[in-house]
Amino acid sequence: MKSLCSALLLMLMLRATLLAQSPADKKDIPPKQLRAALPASAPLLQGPMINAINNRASGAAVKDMGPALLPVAKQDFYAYVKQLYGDKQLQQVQKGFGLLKDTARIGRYLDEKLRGFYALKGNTDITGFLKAGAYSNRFKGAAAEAFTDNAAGALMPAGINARIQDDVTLGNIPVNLQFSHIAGQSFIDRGALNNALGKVSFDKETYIERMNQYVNKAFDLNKYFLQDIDVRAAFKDYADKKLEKAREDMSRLAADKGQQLTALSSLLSSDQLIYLDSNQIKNLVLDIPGFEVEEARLLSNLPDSVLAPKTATARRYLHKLWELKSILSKGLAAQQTLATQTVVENSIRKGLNSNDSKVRNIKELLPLNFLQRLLLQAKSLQAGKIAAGEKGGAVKDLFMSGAAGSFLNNDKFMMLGAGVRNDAGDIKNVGLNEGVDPSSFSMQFLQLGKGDVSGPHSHVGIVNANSRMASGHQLNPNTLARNVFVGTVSEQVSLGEYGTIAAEISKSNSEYRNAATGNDYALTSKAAAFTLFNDFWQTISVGLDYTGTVKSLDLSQRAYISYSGLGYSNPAAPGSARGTVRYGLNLRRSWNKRRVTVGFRADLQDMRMSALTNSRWKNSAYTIDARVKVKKNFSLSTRIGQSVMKGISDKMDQPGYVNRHVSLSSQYSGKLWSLPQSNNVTFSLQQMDILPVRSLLVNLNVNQSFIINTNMLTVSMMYNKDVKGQALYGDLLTAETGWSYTVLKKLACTSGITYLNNKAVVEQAGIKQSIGTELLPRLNVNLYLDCRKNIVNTTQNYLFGNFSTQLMIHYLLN
Amino acid sequence: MRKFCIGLLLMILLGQLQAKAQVSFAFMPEVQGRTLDGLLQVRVGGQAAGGQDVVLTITVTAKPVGAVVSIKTPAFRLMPGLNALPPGLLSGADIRFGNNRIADMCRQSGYFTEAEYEYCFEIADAGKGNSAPVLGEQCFDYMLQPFSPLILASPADEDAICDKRPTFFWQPLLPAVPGMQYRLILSELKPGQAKAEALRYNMPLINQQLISMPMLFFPPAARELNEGKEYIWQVTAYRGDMLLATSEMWTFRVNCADSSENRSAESFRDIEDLALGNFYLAKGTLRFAVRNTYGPASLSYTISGITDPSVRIRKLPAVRLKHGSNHILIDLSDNRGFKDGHYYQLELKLPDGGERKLRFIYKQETE
Repeated sequence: MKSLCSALLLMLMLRATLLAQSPADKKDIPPKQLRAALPASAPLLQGPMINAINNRASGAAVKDMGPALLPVAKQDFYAYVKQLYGDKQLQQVQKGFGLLKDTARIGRYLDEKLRGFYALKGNTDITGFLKAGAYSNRFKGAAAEAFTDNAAGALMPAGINARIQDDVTLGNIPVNLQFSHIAGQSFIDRGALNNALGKVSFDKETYIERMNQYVNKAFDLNKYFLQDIDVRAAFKDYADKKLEKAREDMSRLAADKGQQLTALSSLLSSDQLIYLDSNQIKNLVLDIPGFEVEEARLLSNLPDSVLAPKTATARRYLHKLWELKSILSKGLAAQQTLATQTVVENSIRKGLNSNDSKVRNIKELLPLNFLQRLLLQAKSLQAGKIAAGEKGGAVKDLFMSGAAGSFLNNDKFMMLGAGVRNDAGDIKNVGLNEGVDPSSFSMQFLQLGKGDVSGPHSHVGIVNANSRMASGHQLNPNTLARNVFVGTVSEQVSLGEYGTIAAEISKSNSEYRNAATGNDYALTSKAAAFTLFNDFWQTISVGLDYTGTVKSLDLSQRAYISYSGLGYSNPAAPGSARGTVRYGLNLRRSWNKRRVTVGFRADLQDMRMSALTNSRWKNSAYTIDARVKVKKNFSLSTRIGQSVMKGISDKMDQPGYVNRHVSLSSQYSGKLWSLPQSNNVTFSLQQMDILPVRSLLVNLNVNQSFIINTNMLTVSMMYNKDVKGQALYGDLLTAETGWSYTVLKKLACTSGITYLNNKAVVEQAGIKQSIGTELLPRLNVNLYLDCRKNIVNTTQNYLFGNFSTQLMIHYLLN
Repeated sequence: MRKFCIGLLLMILLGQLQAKAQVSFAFMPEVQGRTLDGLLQVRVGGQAAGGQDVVLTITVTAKPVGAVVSIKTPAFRLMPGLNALPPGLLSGADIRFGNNRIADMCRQSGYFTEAEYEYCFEIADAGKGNSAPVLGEQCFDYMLQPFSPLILASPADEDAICDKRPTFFWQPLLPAVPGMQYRLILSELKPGQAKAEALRYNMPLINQQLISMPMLFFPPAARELNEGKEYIWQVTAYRGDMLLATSEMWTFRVNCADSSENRSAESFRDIEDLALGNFYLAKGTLRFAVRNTYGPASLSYTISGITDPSVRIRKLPAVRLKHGSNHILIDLSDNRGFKDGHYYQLELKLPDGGERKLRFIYKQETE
């Protein structure tokens, strides 16, 4: 328990430090603030809007009634709310109207509905056309491929693949259906591979587009944001009216003093009332010509009878003005409203097409049911045979049959899923029946936090996995029953223009059924979640990854470091490392408008072998590459690299593998013998030691193509020789020439001759043909055939078959 | 009689021997001894006709630390011949881990770390309690060195390459196990597709097995890769029908056009229109259409500087005119006479004697 607490504390501290570093870099007004800045909450804008609604309802210009709807308009509004949002909502609206002092929430709600009503185009029947377009089906396309390959090492000598894509819309929810069926002969068994894969995924983009169309069809969004109302004019109008009323009041009180009244009424304009502060207003009152008011007396609390009549009038007027001023300043300061109008307008205009504002408008304006509302917050939803997990999280590169979804609402993220992983079904594992690892797990995962997973975020995730005895084909029919639990904290921080840093801590724990440790006699089956902090340092995985660019230098860089304990195991991340320390650097810089580009890459990895000693596998890989664009149509590139692996232990170092290579290549396009041509040559030297075999290989690769009228002639050649004669894999020559042409205007064909010689293994010569055509509009058919005659063949030949075909039929609707 | 006696004796002796070696075990520590679950792939040879109910106990000890793990299965029926353990049997097994670091790592990851191990298998008659007679016992010794990670090398992850028939390299899985080979799968990665999905949903372009070296030439009979597309590959190490290790999934893109000429499809406007208008904008090239009413001839033209009249422009490409309408494209980008943003004038002499002048601004093509 203690260790649990301390570890939690550690994770929280890391979160806190990372959060503290995240800069506030949002320049745009966030939606919440935008809503507050909208004139909706300012009473002065409601006036013109209500007037407009009243005008529309009564069919004639109506005199300003103050902020109240005419009975006719109110009936229309109620009918609108009822039709769109139902009885319950109508009651709420009526209650809101009934309450004079509505709370801010009701006020905002009422305001949204009222603005929606204001923005409604004519008498549009929204529910009507929401229903009309609720169901549809669009066939997206289909493709079929068939192939044969008789190379000895081909995992699938023959196979077919059929794919279908279809878009279905149910209740206005678009769903993408995708099926792929790969079936074929495996090298051992005719019916070995029969992989039917299918998935259903929710099409978020289409959904938002579809709903947004409804919004635009039914509502005038410019009106919804009251952009047709001139805020400045409305505001001035409002101030004018108030000022007029104040003057009327004054005139009633001082009816006999004609001259004084003139002086008072010409004292300040509505503009001054808006822009001057209370002190400036006071100064104006002090300076009323012919009044000669003393400041001390004006501000005193003495009764009117004690003061001079003029002073008393002035004081009364000043108090009225101050009162007015405070009304105008309420909510949003008056000046601010005017100043922000342009800002708000701009951000609305900019935001009207952004996804966020589309979603907001849909939510506020359309009558949605629970599911439709939930889907607005969904990022992705899919079920079937699916890939799950994203970069930076407990789940990575997982393929499973199950369901998963992610949601993002107000910057709060959630991902959850459940499914079964079974590696035995993979194409690459055809024919394999055994494995040293458990290959099937049933698992559930959840990830929660702030921010989208692809941007700056801080998330907490968990994975719960149980090894599974599959009834069908499995790589390992016998595994020990175990429960693995993984907890992850991941954080991504944006450094603005300098890039991003991603940090991740993950902890795993495994528990077996009927197990005991050490001197315990009782066999127990614990849930791994409850003992998560067992063997802490051996089952933790920590990673830091930085990527960034320096634009002024045309430089991009990445650096990473990660550690994972020897006991770490995460079934939801099949490729996760164990017992390793990895670090690396990747730099790429360009000069002179990318005429020169240089890249450097270093990846180092130490993998521990022993729980007791320091023995480990030590890997390193370095590459430097450079490209120079000598001319627009001529470039040279070079690559120098080395990768080495060594086994290091207390007793001895064991050399394992060395691969060093240098290559130089050129690309040139231009004219040769007045024919347009392009040419690509690569020459490389490679040292490859897999002890005890040491090889030094020379590789040459030439590709040349000429354009002759509308036809193309290609010649390519690859030659590889082991200079040391070890023939690790060397002494291969392949040559090929092809002629591309069009027959009958529609058939695009390429015919070629091939030759291959792998010394003492195989020698072949043959022909190659491909035909492609559009049989019908959108229906493409492609045929490929490679046929060779074996001049020499031996049993060592696993790679070079002499008959390979491929037929592809594609039918696409977009 | 004597012969008969000897024969009887022999038969009794043989019978006794048979009783002692009633059970045998087939186990390959170099692969199956690497993980906890690998131990369960032991094959047990039974001889009792009609089968016999037995219990298997597997004990693993490591030289410096002692007991690592001991697994006792529930009872199962051992049939004559070589038996694999019945599927699902092990879900009811009892497991006891030792109290040492090797055992801790094994308990957490399922892997045995480097040590000298002794794997002992014991078959006892079931249903006779704790004092059940042991029917067979066999131990295997092995100095275990865990596998190195299976690391891909080239084409590098997320790299852009020019070769449409690349050769693939990876680092070998060490220590070498006799009979170990590799498989390589290459598929297209469609835009927006998850890596794990691409390798299962898409038709593999290469799906090769029996590879004995940590490299693979692009199969000559396979179709070459397409410019601009992204591909994903993965290597698997296996032995016989046993999966040993799987590499990460790496992607690369075939991107060669980047450095070769790339011209956008701009239209060719008639020189007559151009000559009338204002300054023409030449983005690296001059494009115009010209009608030639005479037979094929070479176009004579000169370009002079307006911004800098002293500049002398030489080495302009020769242009041939054919009869009828001609689309002329004059590449200026490699000529040093042209400076970004400067004004120039082109003077054409057509075969019919007509002269045309075209003023233009030269703009370097952005890359």
